[in-house]
Amino acid sequence: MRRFQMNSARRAALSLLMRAVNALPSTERDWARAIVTELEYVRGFGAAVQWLAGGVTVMIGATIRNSWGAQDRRNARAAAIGFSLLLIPGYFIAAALLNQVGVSFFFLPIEHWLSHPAEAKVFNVISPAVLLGTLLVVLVLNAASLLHFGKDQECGGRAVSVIQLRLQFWNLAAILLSFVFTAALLGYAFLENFVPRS
Amino acid sequence: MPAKIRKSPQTIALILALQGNLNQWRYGYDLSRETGLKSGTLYPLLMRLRDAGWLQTRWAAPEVSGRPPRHMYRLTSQGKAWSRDLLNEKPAGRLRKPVLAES
Repeated sequence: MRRFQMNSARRAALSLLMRAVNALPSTERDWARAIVTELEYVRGFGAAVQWLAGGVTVMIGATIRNSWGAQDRRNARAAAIGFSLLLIPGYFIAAALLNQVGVSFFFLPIEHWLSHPAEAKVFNVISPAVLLGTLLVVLVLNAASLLHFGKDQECGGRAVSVIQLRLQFWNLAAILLSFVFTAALLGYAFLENFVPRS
Repeated sequence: MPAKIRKSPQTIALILALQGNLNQWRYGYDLSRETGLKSGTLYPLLMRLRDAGWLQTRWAAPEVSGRPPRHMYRLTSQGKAWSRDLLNEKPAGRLRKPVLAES
């Protein structure tokens, strides 16, 4: 009885999945159908869920690859790397700001470093390089993905250099955030290290 | 000139499984069980091998009525030769032993 219920549930899920597969672009449909039909033969509930999860990942990946051109992929990769790298200075800035308003939990690891003179010395050398270096990498990576240098020919046959600028939201957002974070870090460094002359 | 296929432990495991019985058509789930590869790894490899001309695919009628047709795979004649070359190639980097699932 239980086996019958399991099989019926699986059949119902398969039928639903097949409908979803039919909505995929034709290039992915065959492979998606191949993965879904194999599900009928996968033994065990856990294994079936794992099989399906892997299949869904494959299909999402394939759909993205085929629907985006190479340049779109480059832009998406630059934005993804950029936002991942922004987490480093983002954490530092957020922790410092939260520390100012009394939430010290996130600043404790940094404070731990700063409380030991030897470690503080290393931190003071490494942290600007890491934080500003990270921001520079984000800026260069995303700017490079938006800019395209090439050659073109004018009507008279004269070769001209062409600079193309693509406007991609996520790359521009990463660039903008890297500027904001740089300003915040430089402002923080200025306030921490300079005192007005008396 | 064969299309370039990266010699990874997963690719080797899959090719060894496909070479097991050269003329026999194989099912995705069987290949997964034999190689220990999950569907998320196995199918991108199968897609790559098919696109590169190493693999033939076909839909087979189900053995039991009422079940959907299954997708089957086997190496093309070129794929057989290229896969032999690939397996004989000197490894470019450090390669782990192919993961073969216990039966």
